[in-house]
Order: sequence, then structure tokens, then C-alpha cells
Amino acid sequence: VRNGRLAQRILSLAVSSERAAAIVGDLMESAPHRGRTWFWTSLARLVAASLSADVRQAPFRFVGWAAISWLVYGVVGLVLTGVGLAANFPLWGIASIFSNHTGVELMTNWLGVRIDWGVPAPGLMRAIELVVLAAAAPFLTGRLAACWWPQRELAAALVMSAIWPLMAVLVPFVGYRAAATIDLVPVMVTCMLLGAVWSRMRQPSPPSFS
Amino acid sequence: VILLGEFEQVVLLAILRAGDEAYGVTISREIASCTGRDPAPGALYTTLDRLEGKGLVTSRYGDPTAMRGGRAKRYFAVSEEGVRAVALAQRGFQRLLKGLSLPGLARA
Repeated sequence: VRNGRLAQRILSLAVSSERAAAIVGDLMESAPHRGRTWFWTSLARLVAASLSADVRQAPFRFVGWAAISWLVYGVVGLVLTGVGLAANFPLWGIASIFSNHTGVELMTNWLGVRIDWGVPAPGLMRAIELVVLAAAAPFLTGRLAACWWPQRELAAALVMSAIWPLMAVLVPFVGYRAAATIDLVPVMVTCMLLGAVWSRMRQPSPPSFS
Repeated sequence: VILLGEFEQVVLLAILRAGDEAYGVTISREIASCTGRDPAPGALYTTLDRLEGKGLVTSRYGDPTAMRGGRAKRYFAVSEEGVRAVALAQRGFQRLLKGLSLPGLARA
């Protein structure tokens, strides 16, 4: 099996790096007799078994955290949206003042170029809101999950991905236009999982092998 | 008293049989040769972790070997508590078997 390092990387998403190295070593030792398919199938089942074992150790805590994390996501989303819009208005205002009240418009008119800085388009505001709600806030919440569940980031994120669609129905954030939020749940869940995986991958990498 | 599942007993006995060379591959081999069942790696390693969590086995890492792509073996040993737990569980089996005559099994 050539991709031992890749296998180790994948397994270290579910168990510690040292354990992943030892287990992949065991699988590599057995692989010549059993084949590549056995190796990768065993690896996939190992990841699933480890994540499942993590959740089974404290199922209620995982589900409780997953439900709370939806509220955390809501707060993170509100804060980020607020920051995004607050940053947007002054920038737009400065650009508007510069183009309309500093003589620049006389020059641009003379050149036959029209620069019009009106109020921010509603579409832009909505785009900021969507990027924050569907991508940035879930990604940050996934990273927060990683801080709360060190070594079990992925298990926590998977439970969250199962609970979030339910929470989106039970506790829709009215301010976020509930229907749109529910439509975006698959994207949110993906970004949240990416956040958890990102945190896990940023942990010290396994030693390199000769 | 720590109650053991059937597979936990199998794993503990396999570690005891493998002795100082008890790591994933040899434990799996012992189980396969004695029971005729090839344990799934997922079940084996999660059981080993669980047993370690219960304090019934201990583990240490050996030196990296070239055959395994430079990866170290994780050796397991049954703790005293583990020996007591498996002995207790096996005594229960022996008591249940006592007086029974089963095909392919010597009368206990």
C-alpha cells in the first residue's frame, strides 16, 4: 500500500496521531496478504467505529452540545453579519462622499465618465448576509466545536450535522428569513464540518517516514 | 466488579496468549486461529481502546520498523485487574458448562 501517509492522515481525523500511525502500520503489515481493497475498507470502518465509539461514550452531552451549538451559530452569525454591515456602511459612505462632494464628480463629468455611488444595493447586503450565515458562521462554529471537544472534533461535528436540520426547523432564526435558512442547512453543515476538519488537520502532523 | 462483553474476553485472552508480542496483528491472528473468526479491525481497535479506558489493559509504543513504513507498533498487556476480570468471567462460563455434555466439547 503506497498511500500509507494518506491513510494515516484520514485515520488521524478520528484517533490521535500516534494511534493512527500504529494502526496504519498494523494494516500495512497485513495488507500484502489481504489486498488493497481490504486495507481501505478496514480503514473506512475503523474511522466509522472510532467516531461512533466517541459518541457512544457521552451521547447526551454530544446531542446537548449539538443543540446549543445551533444557538452559538446564531450568535456568531449575528455578530459577523453586524460586523460585515457595519464595515460596509462607512466604506460606502466614504466612497460616496469622495465621489460626490470633493470635486471628483466635476472631473469625471468633464471626462464623460459617470461614477455613481448610491446607497448599497439590497442584493449586496443580502449577499453579505448569506456568505456570513451559510459559510463563515458555520465554519467558525465548527472550529469552536473543535475547541470544546479536543480529539473528538469530527464526532462532535457529525452529531451537530445531524441535529442542525432539526434545530433549523424548531428554532428558526426569524431575522435570517427562516425559509432561506432551512434551504441553506446543507451548505451550513458542510462548512461547519470543514471547520472541524480544518481544526483537526491543523494539529501537529504525523512524523514523516523514510 | 467489571463486567466484560464476549468480545472483550476474547481480546483479553488473545493478548494473554500473544504475551510480549501482543500488538494489533498478533492479537488479530490469535483470535482468528483460536475462534475461526477474523475480527474486524474497527471492532478490535475500539475494543482495545475501551479496555485501556477501563484500566484492564495497558499499552506502550515500540520502536518504528521499516517494514511498517517507519511506524511503531503499539504493544498491549493485560493489567492485574484485567486478569481478574477475565478469570471471573471465565469462571462463570465454566460453571455454566459444568455437567453439560456438548458435541465437540469434552465434558467439563
